[in-house]
Amino acid sequence: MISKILKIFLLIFFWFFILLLETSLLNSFNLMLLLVIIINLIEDPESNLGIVSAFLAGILIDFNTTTYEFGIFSLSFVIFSLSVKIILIKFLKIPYVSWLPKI
Amino acid sequence: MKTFNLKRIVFLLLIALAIIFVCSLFKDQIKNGMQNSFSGVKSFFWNLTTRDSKSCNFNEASYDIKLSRLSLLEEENVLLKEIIGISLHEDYVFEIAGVTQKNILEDVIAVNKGEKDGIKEGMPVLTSEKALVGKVFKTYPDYSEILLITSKKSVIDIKIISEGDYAIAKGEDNLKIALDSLEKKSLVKEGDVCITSSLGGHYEEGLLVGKISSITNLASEVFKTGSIEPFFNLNDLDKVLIIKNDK
Repeated sequence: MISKILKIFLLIFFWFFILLLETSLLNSFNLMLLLVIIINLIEDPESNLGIVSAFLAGILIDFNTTTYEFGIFSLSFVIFSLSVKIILIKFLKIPYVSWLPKI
Repeated sequence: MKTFNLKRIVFLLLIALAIIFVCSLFKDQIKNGMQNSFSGVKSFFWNLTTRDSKSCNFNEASYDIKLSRLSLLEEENVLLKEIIGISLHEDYVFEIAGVTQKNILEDVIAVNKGEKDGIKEGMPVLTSEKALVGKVFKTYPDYSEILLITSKKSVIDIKIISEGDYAIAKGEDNLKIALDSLEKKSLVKEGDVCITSSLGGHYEEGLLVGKISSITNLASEVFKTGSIEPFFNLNDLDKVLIIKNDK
């Protein structure tokens, strides 16, 4: 349980750092969205890392946008992540990387 | 298949909704806290890109520190001269603010001055060269968000200097502006400079908006349309002026 919480905290720091990079350095490239897609595609479909990452990335984008409704990105990222997982478990078996930490 | 059954999916979505609801209640405080805590890091990252694109002064710094200091002073001098020029001619009361970030997915930038510095929503924002950047869209105690003139939410009444014709500049996001509602009989051409007009009542007249980059004259359209290239470049934008006494 403690290691799970620790992993989530590390993940929060990771996504926060990506947000800093994206908003200040790469202001025309959506790195967060790209990473969320990649993580969800390459991780073990039974792991929760993709969903937690999608939610964290989404909520940070929500905090970082003004003209959109709050929560739109976090919800849509989570729904996207769940859809990818269902497709990968039920319909499409592709090899996944084993070195990604599992939550 | 034990991980993702319907119950688990509904449970995860409910948790997500609950967190979103709680966060939305304290959204402004969290945003202000995030910006306040990391404004230094953000400014550092932002300046990395702006300085590189502006000139090679900062590359030279590693070879000759003295030369770098001189060039920095020179830049500062130019900026101050421009600022003094504006204040002398237009009697503007302005606040100099540093850009810290560009929001993701929208043409909004954040600056490190907020309500504590007397910034209010709707105040126009200029570059030191008097080119219009946008207006203050939302203020927080320690920072403000500026809606760029290239944002889809931005519509400005403009005047084209060469012909004296009036038109509308509509933001299209991704740092693009569309020219709209230009009369068919207008003789405006590419390269003509656009300034703000007082017709809309949003901005004072005479602030530089951009240069016309293309004009389309379709027979099916009532007006001429086209595109405008804004005078400000986001990569060069490290400091902006917020006009505090605009009408």
